[in-house]
Formats: sequence, structure tokens, C-alpha cells
Amino acid sequence: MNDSDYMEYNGSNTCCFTPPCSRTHSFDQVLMPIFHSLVFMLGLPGNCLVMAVLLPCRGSLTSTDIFLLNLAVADVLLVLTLPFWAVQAVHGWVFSQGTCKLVGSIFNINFYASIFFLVCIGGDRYFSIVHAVHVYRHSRAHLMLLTCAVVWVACFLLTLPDFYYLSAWEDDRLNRTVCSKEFSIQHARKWRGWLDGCSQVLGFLLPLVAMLFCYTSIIITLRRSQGFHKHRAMRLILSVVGVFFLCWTPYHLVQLLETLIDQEVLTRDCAREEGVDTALSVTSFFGYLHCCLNPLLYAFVGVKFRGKLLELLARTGCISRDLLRRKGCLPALRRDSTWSETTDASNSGL
Amino acid sequence: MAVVQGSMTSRRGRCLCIGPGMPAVHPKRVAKVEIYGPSNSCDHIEVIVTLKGKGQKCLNNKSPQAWQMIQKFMKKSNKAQRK
Repeated sequence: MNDSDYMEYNGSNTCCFTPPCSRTHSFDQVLMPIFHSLVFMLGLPGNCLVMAVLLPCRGSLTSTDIFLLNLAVADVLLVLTLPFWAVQAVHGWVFSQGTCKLVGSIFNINFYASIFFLVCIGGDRYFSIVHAVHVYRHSRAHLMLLTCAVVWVACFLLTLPDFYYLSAWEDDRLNRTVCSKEFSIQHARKWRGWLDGCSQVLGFLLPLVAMLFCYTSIIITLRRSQGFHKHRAMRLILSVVGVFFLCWTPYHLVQLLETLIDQEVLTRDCAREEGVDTALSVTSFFGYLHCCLNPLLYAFVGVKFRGKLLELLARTGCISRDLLRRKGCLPALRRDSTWSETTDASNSGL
Repeated sequence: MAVVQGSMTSRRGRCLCIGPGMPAVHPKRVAKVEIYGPSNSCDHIEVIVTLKGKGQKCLNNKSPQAWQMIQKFMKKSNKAQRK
């Protein structure tokens, strides 16, 4: 730096020489479309299969099955919005203002629904195993309906602020149009801070605490019992909670860092911000990936679910009924109806 | 919500300049001036000058020189709007 660059400079600090932060997002432009397509291709078939298996036997579904069905619907809708975000990462938001509000809201509703139904499944298992109370007996079908309705309405209400503030706007600093929430400029930071905080608490912290509580209690109960599938059940519980934790914690930690930077709690630094942005993209991929893993973790591990899946395949002619009979799948299916709901709970996922 | 800007779906924009910026630059060395108005990415106006052969620098937006550049920019964009 020499004198000709500036005219008045007291020379006591180096603040003024820092060049502006760069605005390239080449990482996002290359990796995000790959991430999104990967999750799209993995998540859509798995969750659609769960729906295809569970929907035809709506009448005879257990409570866990009904939550699983809702979870699959939420995951499918969430995954369906991914192509839009992939396009945005490359070209900016090229769709209309209305599409931004709609797609953004669908994403939000199902983001919450996906996590809340996981909590419902945990709670249902907690009551049936720890307290041996079957909250959702067949005689209380309306209660089941009410729970699902409450979850969906809650997700809808939580998304209302997003629906109101979501907008496709030209961000000249990013040099592109983005579909994100737009606030009045003076209050943008305050609002963002509040909404970020709320979403982290409601969409991650509380569900995590609830799931930890439910599954820890279940493990304690199982350790005391002499169940025949005890070890298998414990392994499954640990994988369910572990995968949820592993998929979502990195994202929320980076998001917290990003909020601290945005609220100016942390001092600004171009390199650090770039790192946080990249980390946010990578960790969000693991969050999305959880949608693809739900069918594997909750549905396909269930003995009953696999039976129903084989039956569906037999009905559509993909496999012969003889094969099913030889493998002993059909008698097992008939036995289902007489199983107690506790065994149901332990078989349909645990 | 988790899904806010700078979030799962959209990258967040930020102020481009860190710190107050340079009080002034030599007018002869300025190759290009970029002015970014206040937006959701950044709550204040930013003036970035590209210096000949020296890369980009932030100009203190409260300095008289920056003020002049902003005035010039506003006049230009007003004219462009009227057209």
C-alpha cells in the first residue's frame, strides 16, 4: 500500500485496507445440484414405496403405521421442492414470486412435519412400551386423526411468517435473485435473529430433547424386561436417535454460528464467513439426507412392513405368491391381526 | 426457520465491507465505482472502488468522497428510471 492510494489516513489501524469479501459461490453452483439430485433420487422412491405399501390398507394400520404414512407424505413433498433449490443454486431464483412463496412454504411445512412425526412415533412407542398405555387404540381412531391434524396445523401455522415474508428479490450483493424472506431493511437483522432462533428451538432442540427422553426411557424399560427381540430393538433405537442426531446437529451448529455472525456477536472475517457458508451447504445435505433415511430406519426395518411390501409385490405380480408361501410370509401376515399392540410397536420399527 | 435465508434453501448475503473502509482514495486511481444500496443482506449503503492495478477497496460511506459518488450514482439511476 503506498501513499497514492489514499489521501487522509492516520495509519493507526489496518481496518481500512481490508478488501471487500468476494461474492463467488462456485461451490454452491457445482455441489448443490449434485446434492439435491442425489437426495431427490434416493428420497422419492423410498418414501413413495412406503406410501404405496401403507395406503391400500388404511383401515388396518397401527398408530406407528399412520405416523409413518404421514412422515412419508411430508418427506415426499419436501423432496419435491429440491429441484427448485437446485436451480436456484445455479441460476438464482428464475421462477415467479408466487412459486417462491408456494415452494418455500411447502418446504417449511414439510420440514417441520417430518421432524414432528418422528417425535410422534417416539412418543407413541414411549407410551406403549414404558407405560403399556395404547394411546391410539382402534376404538380411539378419532384421537389418531386429531393428533395428525394438530401436527399438520401446527406446521402450517409455524410456516405462516415464512409465507408472509418469502419473496423473490434481487440481492445485488450476491448478484442474483434469491427466494428467501425479505423484511423491512431496518428490522431485517432483528427479525432474522428471532425467526432463526425459533426455528432452531422448535425444529431441532425440542424434538431432539423429546426423542432423547422417549427413547432413553424405552431403553431403560427394555433393559429391565426379558423380551426376545431386546437387543435388536435396542440397536434400532440407537440407530434411529443416532442418525437423527448425526444428520441434523452439524447443520444446526453451523446455523447457530451463522446467526452469531449475522447478529454481530462474532467479529466479521471474510474467510470465516465463506467457510460457514460452505459448511452450511454441506451440512444441509445431511439434513436432507435424513428424509431418504426415514423409510429405511422406520419402515423397512419392521417385520410387518416387509410382509406388507412382499404382499404388494405379489399383488402387482412382481413376485409369485408361491414364493411368499414358501418363505412363510403369508401365515405371518395373518397372525398380525392377533398380535398385541406392544408387539406391533416393537415390530413395526423397534 | 431453519429454513430461513442463509439457510437450507438459500445462501445469505452479507455486507461486503468489513470495518469502516478507507476515508478517501486518489480520484485518479479509481477505475470503477460500485454502489450497493441498503437491503436485507446489509442495512447500509456500501461504496466499493476498484483501484487501477490495486484491486478493490471499500470506501467509508460517510466520507465526503463517498457521498459525492453516491449523489452522482443516484442522479444517474434517477435519470435511467425516468427514461
